[in-house]
Amino acid sequence: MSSELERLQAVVVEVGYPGGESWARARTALTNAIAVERDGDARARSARPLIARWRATAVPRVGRRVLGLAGATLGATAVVLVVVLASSGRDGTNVAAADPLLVAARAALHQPSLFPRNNQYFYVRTEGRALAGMSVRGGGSITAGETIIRDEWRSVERPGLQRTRIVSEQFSSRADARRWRANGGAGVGSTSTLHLGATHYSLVSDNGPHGELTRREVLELPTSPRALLARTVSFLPGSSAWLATLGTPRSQLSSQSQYTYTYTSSSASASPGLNPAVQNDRYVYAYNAFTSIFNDFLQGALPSRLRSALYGALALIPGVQYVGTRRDLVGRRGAEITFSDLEHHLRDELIFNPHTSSLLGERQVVVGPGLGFSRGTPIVNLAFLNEAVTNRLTIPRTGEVR
Amino acid sequence: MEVLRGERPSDAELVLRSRAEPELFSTLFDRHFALVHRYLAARVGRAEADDLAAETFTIAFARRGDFRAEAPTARPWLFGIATNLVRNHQRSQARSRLADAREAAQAVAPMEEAELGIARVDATADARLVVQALAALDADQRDALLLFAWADLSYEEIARSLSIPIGTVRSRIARGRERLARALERESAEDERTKEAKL
Repeated sequence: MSSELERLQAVVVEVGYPGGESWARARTALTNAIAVERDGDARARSARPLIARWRATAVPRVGRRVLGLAGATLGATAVVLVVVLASSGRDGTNVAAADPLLVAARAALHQPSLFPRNNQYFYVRTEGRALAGMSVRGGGSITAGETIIRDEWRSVERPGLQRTRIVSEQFSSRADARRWRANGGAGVGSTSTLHLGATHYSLVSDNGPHGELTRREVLELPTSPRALLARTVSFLPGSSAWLATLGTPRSQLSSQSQYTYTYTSSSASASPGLNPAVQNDRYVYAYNAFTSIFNDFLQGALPSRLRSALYGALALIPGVQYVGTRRDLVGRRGAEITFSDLEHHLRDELIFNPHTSSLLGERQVVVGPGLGFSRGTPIVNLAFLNEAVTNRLTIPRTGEVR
Repeated sequence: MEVLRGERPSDAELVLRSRAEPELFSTLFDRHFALVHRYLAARVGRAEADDLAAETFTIAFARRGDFRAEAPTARPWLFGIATNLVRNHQRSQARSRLADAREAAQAVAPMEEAELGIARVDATADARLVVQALAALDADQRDALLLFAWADLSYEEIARSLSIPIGTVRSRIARGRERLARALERESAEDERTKEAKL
């Protein structure tokens, strides 16, 4: 053995073997991947032709985080977040509807706040399945199904960062895979980094006049579910008077069946005895309230009391349905609530752990025509893997809340 | 998991059978995680190694359909994935630093070590010299040499791992060792001069 090799090998000995935590985390990640494949295998196979049939159709409403993920990863190519776990149509379970949300509201009060100071970072790790499209030289396009893991650090005062890795990919044919490579498409293992300006990524935003809320404004938000819901929808067009008639969260969600909206070409209507225009107004109102609370608030950095109030407010929104226990993208079980976007033929699904109040996953599932996918196909499928407050651009070793 | 009773299937058999029985892939993880993690920790530091090692196995699992059973062991395949992840990690880290030097200085190791992709090693002065000397190598030479020295792969396995001819592996390692030896001499001499100057 020559001298330089002995000295080289001596270095690695000093590094040592991994501790139990490293092994356990990696093993869990693999176990989740296996579970996802096992559970979704049959549905994944049936989804393959969908990728081949995919056409670049704009998705009407995608969460801010989703748009960021897609845009950063795929640059100028058309992107729609996706999917393989299919879900069949299911009816809401009215009777126990409020329970998971109210359990989560209570649990949130006992969880640490994830609300950084202005000079700290709000860290989120997300895994998502996406369709990535690419125009190729000589005409035509290729679509790849990608699984992406994103680490994101956002701060009010300091430059933030998004780091996105492609961890798996799927093509409709080997020929597509070769063309994808030949045209410079990113492959498994590739990482892209996006630098975020401090001023452009506030921690929480809403649809009010301010758009992005300052730390003080977030702290001043009401922590009563009803008041928070009223404040959230107060900026929306239309009348919010009917909100005053809503009952407690438990009684409200127990009577969700009366708010099973349907959608016609120009209006939503359904509840017997209600004027379609009124019904449409209420539907739009309720849907906007749901998306605002879910996308704008619940995915952001939040003090514990506000997180609790948000779960309570969700339980007040007419049309929110609890469908039971479901698995998220990486196989974690949680309570799932849904709200159907009748106008765009999508069903929004939110999976959370009621015992920790952690947001686990989000899906948007096709429930009608017009998007180029068959019914039951999720076009958004995200798992929120970890959240923490950090002082630096590092992946937190502790403080995991999920 | 019947396959594991009373026999020890090869890595190749496990990978092939895991296409129909995904759970079998866990056995491959149990066999090789420690070695892959050790290699990655030496190259990028323990903090990053945790993520990259986990990613190595999830990628391998996702791509097990592409695995070619040329040999009983899957180590070259796994180390190949790990080495690619190291390279991607280094590139993204370098870009990150160039774009925001201040944040980068807070977040990770200094530029030289980060570009090199070698973990900060403080244990001995000699280890530091080796790390510095490795910076003198081309990335290709370094990958081949470190797969040989730190991952204990044979020339043939390195060739499979990096998808290059075995002759190329030989030449990269030979040149890498020559350059490493020269760099170590230089670093040692400089180190001596620095010590004498302090005295």
